[in-house]
Amino acid sequence: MTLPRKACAVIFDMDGLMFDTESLYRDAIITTASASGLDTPLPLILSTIGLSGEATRAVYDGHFGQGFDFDMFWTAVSKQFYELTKSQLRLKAGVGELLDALDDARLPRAIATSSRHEDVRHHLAAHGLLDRFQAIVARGDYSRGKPNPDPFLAAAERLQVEPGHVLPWRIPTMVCVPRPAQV
Amino acid sequence: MMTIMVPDLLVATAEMEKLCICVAQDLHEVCKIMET
Repeated sequence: MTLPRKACAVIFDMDGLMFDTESLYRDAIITTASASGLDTPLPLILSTIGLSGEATRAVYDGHFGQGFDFDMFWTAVSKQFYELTKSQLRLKAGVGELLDALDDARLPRAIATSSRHEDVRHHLAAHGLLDRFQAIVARGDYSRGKPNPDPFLAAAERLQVEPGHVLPWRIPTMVCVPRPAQV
Repeated sequence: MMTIMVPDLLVATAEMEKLCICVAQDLHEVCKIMET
């Protein structure tokens, strides 16, 4: 498998692609729910991956029904998640190798994520990667979040490259911006 | 853009596989694709 065209820039998703954070969220949800006597089947959790906050709320409200306080639940999940990141925030396989290869090829790169800027900085700093990206697009930098491609489009704009068509995405994704065709 | 998906907890559907240029196991595989 090779790229159909040479790349001129690369844009990374963050959660699940660079960091093993999807599994930490899964564990945080299960732990938080269990502490409250709630059952969260794995298919329920997986069905919310890549959904917006409002869509996730609708899924949980629909599952637990009237009387379920999503805001209180998610606040507790977030607290549990941050506790887990203190000791279990792992880089996914190949991140360092790929960044080194992009350095060698002098390809600029950005992160496009649904996470908050402070979380991106925290995760990158924990692994000494803060200076490896030319741009970071995070929550608040675009109007429509995942699965809409707006974060990737905003990242392309920050890198000053022409994005072309971008797919909606729900699973960890990396996009290579093709080098413009020579005239 | 050329989209490479690297599934984690969620498996790529057949529809997703059709839309992207490839589904990779991890970023080691992506690195090989970028270098060739």
